[in-house]
Amino acid sequence: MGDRALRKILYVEDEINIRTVGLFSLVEVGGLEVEPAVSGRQALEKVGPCSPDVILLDVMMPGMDGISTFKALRARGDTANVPVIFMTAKVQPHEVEGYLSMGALAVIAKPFDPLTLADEVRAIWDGRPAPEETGVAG
Amino acid sequence: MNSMSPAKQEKLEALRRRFLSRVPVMVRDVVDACVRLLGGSPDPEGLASALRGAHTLAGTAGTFGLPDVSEAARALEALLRTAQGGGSALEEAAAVSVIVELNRLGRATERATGAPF
Repeated sequence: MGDRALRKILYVEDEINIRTVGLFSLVEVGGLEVEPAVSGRQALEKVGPCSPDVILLDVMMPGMDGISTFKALRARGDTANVPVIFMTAKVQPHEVEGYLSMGALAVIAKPFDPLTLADEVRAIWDGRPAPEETGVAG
Repeated sequence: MNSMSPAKQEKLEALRRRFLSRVPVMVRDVVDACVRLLGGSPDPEGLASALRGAHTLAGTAGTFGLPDVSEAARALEALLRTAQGGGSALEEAAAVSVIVELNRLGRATERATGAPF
């Protein structure tokens, strides 16, 4: 289990209404530092300078979807080990298993509860395996 | 669970009211996109547009506490996604199902927003 508190998130969500309430939840309710990205491509541009602890990544996005974005992050030396939490309405057990087998840290179901999203992300961060256990940093 | 100050509660409620004011327009856009598909000819772009609209509506309505609108939009999304996998034309049976779900979506929107749809 990691011993450093979660501080900074790169939040990737294309839909403005969801992104707005997500930012409210994470920043104003959860007290986290959040860098928003409106697309997979913008996420790839921002992730280096942002240096987030974790990336919250919407799956269904036009153009470069969440899966493609995830694969691109994994292909880069500077982002390959940044933990990613997918956010999606597709949360059937076999779908979640698929995301986890790709290397995602966790999956958060949409729609999310604005009152508890930050707690959920923190719980995932606090419960993540230590790097030496899986080879995944975080 | 985080507790919220009254000011933050009001801010969240303001976000919800703002979204509620947009729901009828979002729903109308989805309805219009689906109606255009009911002509029967394959229309990949139109179907993709309707699918995006239904998906967005399902997600945002759910996030803002409109479960009936979200559920109806999600059902519509599933129908449209099936049509997308089958060649981008709505077969007659699917078209009937889409109409049923559009009606359900309209009723749910009326109940959620209080505005006639």
